[in-house]
Amino acid sequence: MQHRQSIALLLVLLFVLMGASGPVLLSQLTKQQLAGKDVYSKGIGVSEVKITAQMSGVSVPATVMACVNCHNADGSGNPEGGITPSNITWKELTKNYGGQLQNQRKRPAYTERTLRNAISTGMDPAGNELHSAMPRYEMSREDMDNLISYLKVLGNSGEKGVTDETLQIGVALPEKTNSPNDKSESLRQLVNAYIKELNNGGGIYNRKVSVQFFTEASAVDENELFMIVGEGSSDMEKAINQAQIPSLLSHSQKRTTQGFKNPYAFYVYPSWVGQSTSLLQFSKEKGMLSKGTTLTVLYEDIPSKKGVVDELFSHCKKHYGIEPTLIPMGSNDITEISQEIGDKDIVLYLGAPNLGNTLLKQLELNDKHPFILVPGSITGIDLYNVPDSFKNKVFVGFPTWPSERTPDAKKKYETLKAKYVLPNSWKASQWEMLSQLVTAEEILKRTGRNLYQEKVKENFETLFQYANGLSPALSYDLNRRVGSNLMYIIGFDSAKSQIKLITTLNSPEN
Amino acid sequence: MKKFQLIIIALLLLAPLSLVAQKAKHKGGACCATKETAANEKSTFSLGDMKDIPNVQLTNQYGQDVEFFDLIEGKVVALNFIFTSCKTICPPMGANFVQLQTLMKDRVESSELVMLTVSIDPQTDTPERLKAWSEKFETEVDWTLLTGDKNDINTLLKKLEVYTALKEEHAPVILLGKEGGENWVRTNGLANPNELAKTLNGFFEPKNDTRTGSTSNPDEMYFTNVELMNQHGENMRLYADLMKDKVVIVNPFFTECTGVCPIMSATLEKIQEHLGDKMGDEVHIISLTVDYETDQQEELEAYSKIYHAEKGWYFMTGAKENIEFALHKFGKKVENREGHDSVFLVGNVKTKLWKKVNGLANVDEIIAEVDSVIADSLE
Ligand code: HEC
Repeated sequence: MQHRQSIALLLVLLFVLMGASGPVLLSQLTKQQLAGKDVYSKGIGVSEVKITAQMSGVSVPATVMACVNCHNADGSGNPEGGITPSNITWKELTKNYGGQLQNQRKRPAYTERTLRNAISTGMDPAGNELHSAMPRYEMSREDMDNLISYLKVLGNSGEKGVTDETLQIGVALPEKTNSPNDKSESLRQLVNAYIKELNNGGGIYNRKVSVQFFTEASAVDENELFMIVGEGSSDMEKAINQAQIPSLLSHSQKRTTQGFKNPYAFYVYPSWVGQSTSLLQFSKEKGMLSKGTTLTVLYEDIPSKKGVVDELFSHCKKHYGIEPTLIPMGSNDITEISQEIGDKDIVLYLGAPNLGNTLLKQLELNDKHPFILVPGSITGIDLYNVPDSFKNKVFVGFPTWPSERTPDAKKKYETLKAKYVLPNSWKASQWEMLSQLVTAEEILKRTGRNLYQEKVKENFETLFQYANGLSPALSYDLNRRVGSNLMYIIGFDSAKSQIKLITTLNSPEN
Repeated sequence: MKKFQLIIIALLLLAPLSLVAQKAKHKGGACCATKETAANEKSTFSLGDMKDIPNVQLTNQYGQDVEFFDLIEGKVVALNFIFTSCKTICPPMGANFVQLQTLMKDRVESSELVMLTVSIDPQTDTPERLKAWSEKFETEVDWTLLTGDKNDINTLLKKLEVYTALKEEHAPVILLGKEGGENWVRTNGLANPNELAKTLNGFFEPKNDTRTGSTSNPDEMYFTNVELMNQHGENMRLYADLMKDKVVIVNPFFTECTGVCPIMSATLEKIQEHLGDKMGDEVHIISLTVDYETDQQEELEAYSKIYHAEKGWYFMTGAKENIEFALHKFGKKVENREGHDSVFLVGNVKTKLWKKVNGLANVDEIIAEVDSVIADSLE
């Protein structure tokens, strides 16, 4: 048994490693139905003439009043303010004993012809006027044909990545390296283990979940994905919103974009910028940072960090009236940099993870002891190995903390780890990924068997203090895209010679 | 970094646990309960004094701070309530509102009418959301959408009696009325915009408008309520303030006129003396300048003092098109100021008896004519 599972796992892994594109699910919809779906859900047709909607003599672009507004993605009808739009799934419309309208009036079953008529003139098959809240649409023959073809399958999902038996989810991973303890590889194994368990238990509402791993943003559009979890980036966010795939990502690098401009990418934690500014806020509250303070931002000279540093610069100027010195730092620059930094300064460290401790040693040699602020999910410093003179001067900020984990959650991880022989490396990141998977599964289950991407997005937006036992509670709404604002500030307790939690605070993001 | 993470995990696995209870935010279920009475019945109400709303500071769709009272002060107002994530009824309400705007375009452009949309979900509806929402309707008419602090918005909604605790319960209401006026109308915002426009038109006082005044009085329609200014600097509407229910003596003049004008004005002074208490109450003397450029308020005031003009004798000037329009209505419009005549028009507005009297005639003859017009009655 154990053996078979390992083989299965191996096969999955091989498959993913070899075939870059993996198992591409074809959409269940025909080209015509897809075009009809655009009419239904966006009010956009293929013809040059724009579709218009008329209501009590007023004509507006159909983009303002797409069918989906009132009839929902599944055709069920979205009652609001005393208006009850009908269920317009094909099954409902064509029941041979007819149907009933808002005012209790009966109507006969629809045919394709009478349906066209209803949409363009607002008459039901009996020739009676539909309620005035149902607009009359003017569109080309072709757009109407497409719409009707889609209405015939409305209510049967037809969403990207969903078939009757399967559900495809994308997992965004960091770039693969050649290291024996590759982060990407550790996460991959965790995901595969989790999905395997999930599918063994029946999947999600009898759909088996399949996973598509990727690193490049371009993969978002190339694959038929229903939902995405994993690590985010600005490019990824853009692709996700373009493809309208609801996604749960760990955090963005630059300041998180709110829901208005970023409807589909939900982040668990504050952005790199948000995490860094939390540390600055902490240093201000503790009296380390004041108006005259010299603040230096040391960073690794890579594009993702450069963008963060630029945003930090304007933040400091605006909120603290300080213009920080921004210095890119490679391993050869440490000696020079440590001379430039003053004894009373503050250093925000965004350098490479492996250079932090070297820098501190060099600073100590020069008899400089600035405060060091380290956003822990961007970079790292080994608190146990910092020079003694820095023991009370280094503060690390984390958006999560093991104290969030419940015994059940720990058991869940340990069971997976034992059963699937998960690697010991990158454990914190594995926990993180596990947390995302659990949340994603919960959201999918809340959405129901009838899966719609729009509904998944809306379900995220109704999460309020949702705690999965693995990471801090998550809340989202229409604007909010950072689920947890919490930041844990960690320091070193020299007396006890161990790490201690100094305080928590809310990131100014959101 | 990796190492650090491992150390921390090892240390804190034993740390105390806290788990925040999971509460799915309530949605759906009670959503959209109906308030049909509010929406479908047309009712009137009194808005009361809007000035006493404390500190209702709002933000418009461009992110500018505005005070609600400043927006509506002295204006006819159309007010509706939406939130941008409301899908079924709000887009149709928006479409209706935009159509109403198009129908009322002139009133909006002349700033007599202000059309406001207030978000009932101010926490979600940022200015940029409101702006994007309004732009979908592709209208060019000026339209102000408002959001703000939740408490401020709620204060306003309560004052307007449209507050609902759950935004999903909101009904498609539109309020129409005039700031300071009593009979505000609360009606269905999805109603036919032509009907809404009709209701709105009822709130305009006929004023400075030559065509669309809502009156059925033929004289008022003829003379209109074009706005003029008297020697005291007060604005007066031609029909409503100067003529209605009065006997009027109308003559053209200009202050720099040295020919016939001093004679006419001296005659009018004597007529004023003769009429005594009737002046102002029953009779108005209306001297219209044919030289609005020279005759500003100060000139008229100085001139009126020479002839001891008292209550009820008005020397009128005004904006070019207004004063010319008034002169035209009395047949007194001239190409150049010297071309004006010296005929008094004496009219009983109630009985519609009008006489033309030579303004250079003997004063007693003129007084006799005036008295006969005053004496005219409908019986
Ligand atoms: C603004 C809201 C709204 C929009 C947008 C809308 N509808 Fe409707 N629709 C309604 C309402 C309300 C009814 C119920 C009418 C009644 O009960 O008389 C309805 C009824 C219908 C019916 C008749 C159902 C029956 O049982 O007779 C059909 C078909 C329909 N809609 C199709 C569409 C299509 C297709 C679109 C997009 C092109 C659309 N609707 C857009 C509100 C809307």
